[in-house]
Amino acid sequence: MRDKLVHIVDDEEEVCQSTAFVMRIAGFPCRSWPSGDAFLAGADLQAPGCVILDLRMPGIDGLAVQKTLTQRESTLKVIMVSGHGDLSVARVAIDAGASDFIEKPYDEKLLIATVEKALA
Amino acid sequence: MHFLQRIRHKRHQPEDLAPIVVALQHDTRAEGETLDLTACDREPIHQPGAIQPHGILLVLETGSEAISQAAGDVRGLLGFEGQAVGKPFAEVVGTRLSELTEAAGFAPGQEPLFLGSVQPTGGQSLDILAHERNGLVLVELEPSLQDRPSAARLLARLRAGVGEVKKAGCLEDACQAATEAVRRLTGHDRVLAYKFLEDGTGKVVAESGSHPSGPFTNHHFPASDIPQQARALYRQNLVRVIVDVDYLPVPLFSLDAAEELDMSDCALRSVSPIHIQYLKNMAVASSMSVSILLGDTLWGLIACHGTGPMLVPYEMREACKHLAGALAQQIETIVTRDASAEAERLTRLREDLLATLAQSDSVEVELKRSLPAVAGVIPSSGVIVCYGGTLAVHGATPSPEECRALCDWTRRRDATIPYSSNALSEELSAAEPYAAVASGALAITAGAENPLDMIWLRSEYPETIEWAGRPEKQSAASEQPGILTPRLSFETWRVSVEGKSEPWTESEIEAAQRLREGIERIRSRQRLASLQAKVIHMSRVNAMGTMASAIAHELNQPLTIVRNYASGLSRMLEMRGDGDPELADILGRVAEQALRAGEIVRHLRQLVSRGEVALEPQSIRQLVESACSIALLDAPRLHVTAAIAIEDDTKVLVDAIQIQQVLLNLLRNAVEAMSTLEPEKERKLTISSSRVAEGFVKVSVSDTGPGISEDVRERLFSAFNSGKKDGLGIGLSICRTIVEAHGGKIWLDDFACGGTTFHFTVQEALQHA
Repeated sequence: MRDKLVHIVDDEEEVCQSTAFVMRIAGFPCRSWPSGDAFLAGADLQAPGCVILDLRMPGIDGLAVQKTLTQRESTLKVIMVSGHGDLSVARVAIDAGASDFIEKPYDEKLLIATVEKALA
Repeated sequence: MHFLQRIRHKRHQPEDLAPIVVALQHDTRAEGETLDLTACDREPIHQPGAIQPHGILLVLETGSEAISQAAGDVRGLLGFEGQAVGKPFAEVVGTRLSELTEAAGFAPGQEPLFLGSVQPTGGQSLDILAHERNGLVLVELEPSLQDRPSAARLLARLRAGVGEVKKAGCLEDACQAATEAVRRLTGHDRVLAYKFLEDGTGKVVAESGSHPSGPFTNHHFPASDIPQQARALYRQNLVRVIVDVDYLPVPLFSLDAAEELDMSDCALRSVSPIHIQYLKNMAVASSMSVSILLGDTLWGLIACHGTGPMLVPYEMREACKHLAGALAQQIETIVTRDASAEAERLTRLREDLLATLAQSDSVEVELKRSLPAVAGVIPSSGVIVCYGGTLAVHGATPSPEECRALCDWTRRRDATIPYSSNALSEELSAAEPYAAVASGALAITAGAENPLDMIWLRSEYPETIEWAGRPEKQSAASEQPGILTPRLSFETWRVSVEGKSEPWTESEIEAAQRLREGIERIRSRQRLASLQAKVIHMSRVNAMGTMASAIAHELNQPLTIVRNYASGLSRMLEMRGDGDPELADILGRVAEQALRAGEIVRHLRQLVSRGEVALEPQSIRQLVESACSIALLDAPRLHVTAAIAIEDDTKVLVDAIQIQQVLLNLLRNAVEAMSTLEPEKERKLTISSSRVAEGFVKVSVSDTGPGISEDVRERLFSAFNSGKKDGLGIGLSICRTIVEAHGGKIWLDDFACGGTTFHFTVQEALQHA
């Protein structure tokens, strides 16, 4: 499980860094991306792992990234996070195949458990 | 030669010493019909068939020299023996009529023209007057005044009289000057100026000289004193003279059965016996009356009374006519001036009141505060304002219950026009008990839904009026069947006019109507303003949802970071196993509080949760116009002008309510920014739209306000930042959230010289076929 990579995509650098810090402590190898485009362009989408994907971002947003992943038949599991509390959007994300939806700010135990479930 | 001598008018048989009795015996009145002196109205006073005996009337067909009808003492006055009828004019008078008429420039259709004088041997000099009527020439000969004043002296007196009249500043003074001038001209003992009031009654407004019947100033005369046909005649022939009330009418003799001669323009016309009796009752021996005509309206009369017989020759009558004309002109000037000054005064009072009401928060409350001003808008003795069951009164008014009942009653009629009455108790019996304080009522009702009643009251007509005789002519029918006597006595009767007030003038009713319209305008403006405040409040509440979402994100990001670091750190300490337990505990609490803050934000958002955004094609013009209708309600008051320049009827894909909130916000900001400008600065608001790239429509709101400073501008779209001292500072941040949620952008241009333009873009709706 520890060979699987956790991608973190958020337009705010501090969010990426702090999330990566939590993941590292919990023993997950991880990589941060500042935007959806950067992630889609740079990450190995066919490798095992998961992505903690922020829903609302400038440029292409979380849903659009998820859609592209599906189109490219990515093996990465999607954990959608949002600080907006858009539950209707969460339903769309889950329907589109996201493993889970977590509201910011989150209990890191919940995040770790969700990531573990996604990587299982 | 055969003369058919016929008495043309049986009613005036000279030997009959009781002419009135005769007159009424010949009346066609049916038996049992009530005696009524309005029967006077039916007497054909222009065809009396007789003249006064001091002169001669000769009637000839136009162009003829043969006399066809004649009346008067030709023997005594002209020294002509025999009957004038059938004789050539020259034989009787001494000169051919055509010579006289040609020399004087006589023409048909003129007023009686002075043809010259004739001096019979051994007799008195006679003035000759002629006028033409219905194909007949009527020639009147009347004694010239012995030692008549020279034309120069007469003109000088006339000129002085006219000068006095023209100097007068009020009606009473003008009439007084005229009566004095007339008296100086004619030498009558007393001269009255008599004015007709609206109801046809008359009032003596000026008096010069004295007479045994006593002073008449301010006396009122009933309308029946001067019958209708007399008034009509007075409009046509401006001067009537009765030389001696004890005269015996001289009948008109005719060659054949011609029509009754129309003597409307004759100076010698014999007058109604009823009128003679009227004068005798006043102990008047001779009289003259001169009409005061304003246009075609008989405004009044100048009435002259003499204690003995009195001749008023032609030039004197003409001078009086001229004077009455000057008086009429002066009256017109004064009436027009006074009316416009009064109208101006009332208009100013009304405008002041409306301005006060407009500035108030509530018309109803302010009206009650301004009752004296309300009462002043229309001359009145009391005023009632009633709204929603509460009553406010000023001046003399009936009891509160009576006031309420009166409001209820006046409200029942068509509310769009004022109700007015100067005899209220005749229409509303409930008003009888309070007729003294409210015989006149002028009422308006503003607003159909929440009626606001205003009633001006007038007290009963000055309790008693001095009438010269009772208004109902006394009938002595019970004593003398079939005989009607005019008033026997002209002692002043005091008759109270019950249940009547001074009437409301058209301009007063108009003023009430204007006030009603003004109040309705202000009320609807105030209603809209309160609606506007509600809508703005509602939109702010709605926008709170949108804002909460934006704030949630803003706060949740840093909270996430805090939580991540705190919980990561405490996990790290735990794993190393060398941590200070207190440090681990504190880190745990930090992480906990970050979550708690997140919970608070979540709850807040749920409290003001907004509905789903419903994007639908909307006309941008309609969106702008509907936002303007609310946002620009007070623009006229703030002297802000607005121009809407929407290129075409483009449709945009938006949530109408949310985009209207954006517009409302931008428009209100613009109006408020400009309201702080100095008065002389331009206050112009422009709303425009244009298509921009990639299926977007740009909407721009420009103002000429003071602009936005650099530092404010940087933080402008952030929440809780307000450049306005009473602003929430959420307006523009909400705008940004809404516009961005619609996929658009919002930004602003600021001009160095002042003025700001906000732009935002929204998606254009695809046109469906």
